[in-house]
Amino acid sequence: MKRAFALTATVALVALCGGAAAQSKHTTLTIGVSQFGSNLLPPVENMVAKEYLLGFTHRRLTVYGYDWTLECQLCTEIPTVENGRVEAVTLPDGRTARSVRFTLRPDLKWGDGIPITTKDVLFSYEYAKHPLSGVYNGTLTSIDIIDLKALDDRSFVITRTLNQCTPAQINDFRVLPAHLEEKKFRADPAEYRLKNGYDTDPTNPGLWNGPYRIVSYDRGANTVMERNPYWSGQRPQFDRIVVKTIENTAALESNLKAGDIDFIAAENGLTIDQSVAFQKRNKDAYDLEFKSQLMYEYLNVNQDDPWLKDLRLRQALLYALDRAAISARIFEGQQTVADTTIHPLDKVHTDDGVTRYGFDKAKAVELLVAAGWNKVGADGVRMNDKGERLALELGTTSGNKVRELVQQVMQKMWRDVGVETRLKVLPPRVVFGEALRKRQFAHLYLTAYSTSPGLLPEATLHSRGIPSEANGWAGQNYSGAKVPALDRAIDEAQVKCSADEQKKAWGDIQRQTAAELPILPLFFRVNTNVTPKWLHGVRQTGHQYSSTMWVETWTAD
Amino acid sequence: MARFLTERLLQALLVLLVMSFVVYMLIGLMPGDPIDLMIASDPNLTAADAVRLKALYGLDKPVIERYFNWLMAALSGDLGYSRLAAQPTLAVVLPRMGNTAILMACTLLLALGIALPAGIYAARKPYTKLDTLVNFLCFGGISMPSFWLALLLIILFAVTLGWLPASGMAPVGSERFADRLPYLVMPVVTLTLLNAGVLTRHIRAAMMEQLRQDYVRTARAKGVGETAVVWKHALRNGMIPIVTIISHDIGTLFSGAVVTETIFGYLGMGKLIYDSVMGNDFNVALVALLAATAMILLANLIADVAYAALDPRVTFAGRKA
Repeated sequence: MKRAFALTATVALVALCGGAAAQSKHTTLTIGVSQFGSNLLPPVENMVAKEYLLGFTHRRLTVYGYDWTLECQLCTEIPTVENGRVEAVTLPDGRTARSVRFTLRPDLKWGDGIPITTKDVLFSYEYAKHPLSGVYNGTLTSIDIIDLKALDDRSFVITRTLNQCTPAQINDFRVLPAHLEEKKFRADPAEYRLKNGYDTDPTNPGLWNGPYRIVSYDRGANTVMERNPYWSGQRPQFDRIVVKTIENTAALESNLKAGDIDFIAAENGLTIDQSVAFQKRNKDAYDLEFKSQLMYEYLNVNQDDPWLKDLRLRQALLYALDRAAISARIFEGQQTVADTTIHPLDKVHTDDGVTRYGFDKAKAVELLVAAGWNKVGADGVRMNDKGERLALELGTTSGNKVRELVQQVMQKMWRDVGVETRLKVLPPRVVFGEALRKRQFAHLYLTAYSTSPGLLPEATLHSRGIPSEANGWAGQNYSGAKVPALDRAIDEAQVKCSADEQKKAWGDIQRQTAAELPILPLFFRVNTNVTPKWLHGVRQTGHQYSSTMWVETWTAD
Repeated sequence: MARFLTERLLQALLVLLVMSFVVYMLIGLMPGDPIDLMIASDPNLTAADAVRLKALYGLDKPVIERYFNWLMAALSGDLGYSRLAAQPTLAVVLPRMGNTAILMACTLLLALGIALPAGIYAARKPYTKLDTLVNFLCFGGISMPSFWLALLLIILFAVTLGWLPASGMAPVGSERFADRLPYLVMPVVTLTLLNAGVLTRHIRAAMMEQLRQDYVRTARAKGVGETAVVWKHALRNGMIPIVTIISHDIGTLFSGAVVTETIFGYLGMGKLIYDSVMGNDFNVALVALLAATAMILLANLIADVAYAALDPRVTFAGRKA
């Protein structure tokens, strides 16, 4: 009898333990990041660290998904011409526009149980249009979306004038809770960005519409989130998520090993060299996910310089760089070599007719000779008939050791074909505030640019984007490139929206970029998630929309 | 004494006024602004957005006009809002000042606790093996890079031994001061080791100088005990240069522990000043830097009062003839 009781008790204990294990012992997930967001008001001051938190707590109407196609988060379906939600309209002034109808999901609620309705959408539109709102992408609501009307509690129609070929993409339109925020905004629209509920009372549950809501916010240190009971989507596994900020990435790594954090987020985590080194030492204990990003490293080429105006010199410089070897040696082969500014994973990417610049030293020398750099001095540096030495200045931003290393390797590779390079390193503020912004650089500048799926390179490659006093130094075509065929292709991609027209226009953009080399593309940057073996489903998107927007798919053993 | 303090207070106010102007101009003259940096990192920010945001944040106005607007508001008691944190400036700065004061006080006390006995002992037994050891440890402390020492401590005490938390200020959600203590250990030890070396060297030099003086020899000849000679007579005179060093250390610790704060995730004034200057958060940068200046001025004032207390020849009207 005693033995039978003991056996039964043992079986019951094992079953109990097994049951507990099936529920997972990981009820809290602690994430380490290296930056703390500046504020929490969703439409103001976009930054990676802030968007990482908002991904858990504040969902968008539309967003690019893991496969880089547009998907609904708060809406029922992406409006298209085919489903009758997008129509061409002619405005009273004769301009063409698109009328786009969205419907909110029926079960949406704020974290205090109040339903999300078009009243919130109308308030958010009014706020975003206000000239003193400080809304980040204000062009979307002040110029592009010229009208927004509610059809009922759940459906609304926007009329947009600019982004006509992807009319359903309103990722930067953030819905705010009218029942909490409208009064504060109306009291003082200019002060609302400073005195809004998100920054003064972030633990108010009614501010949040995502699977989690903020329950503790220790500015500069950590944020604690708990499940939102009114979230109607898939129930997330973790009861509580803590995001800890440790700005020094070496200390971030130590915190992971000490068990103070569970994983390091790719969005604001280890640098690529640290990730590669970490993988070598710790691959048995952690999973590392390397993912190529929609952020490319490239060389700005000052095309006002008489030497660099010559396409042959630009081509020779690119042929002389063994970018595959740089990726293999410095980045363990993780960084994808870029041929244009369009990422291979982007739907608009093409290889058709796009010139590739694989490492070819002989071709580089041939092009240099053809460009007039046909003599080699005693020091090994090429000269032209005027006796000028082919010496170029190559600048980059300080504080990025990996980039400085790449800069040195490029110097060596160009030296091998007779091009001397003087390296220059300046703080980012000086680079983006003066040197690049006002195009005060001699020859070449190594920087990076973050883009978005299907985003036209208007600001960076169109001649309209050349920074000048006239446009308030606001463009980003720092090279000063003027390629008429490229300008034409970008303009056409904006207004010619049929599938064939889009394919042709985007193909021309890539072919012209590779043929004319307004910039010298180098790599698409790689980010790394460092996760423990027990955590699953944490995947990077590769674009600027955070992986936390899909936190409900994360699971633990 | 009252006149002395009033004069020093007026001088301090003048210094703060001049400092506010200089700091504002220096930040304003830095190339670029946060909107310029945002343009490079966000593809959706258009040229029109950049122009609008610059106007909204007042970055399109001449820096001198912005300064006088700030000064007028500050004199009326309105220190404004933090552009980066969307919080009243004082709500951002005051908690950081509190955190730094705790870190600074612990560091100074511990550093003095080490440096005083070590420096005095080394001065009493100069050029002995123990003096050589003290000097060796001092130079080690002085020349050790703070980021390296900090990481080493984290690896040893947080990763390998698991005795202390690797970084942060307190357990998540806790507001009890006692819970903060384990988090203070490594930042305090890092800063202490760096400061104790300098202090020990100065105390040793000052005490060696005093122990050679005639009055010390006289005291010993009169049969005064060695403890009284060292601690009562020599140390009192030797403390004058040491007080100067400590007053200088207070200013440095108040604003200059950026590296240590960053590695340990400690929310102090050093990191706040750095971030606000780099982020063109004028209101916070000014208030934080002026607070740091005020702290240095206060430390110097305390040092001046201490001189008079330590040396009877010093009066508030000047040195006695």
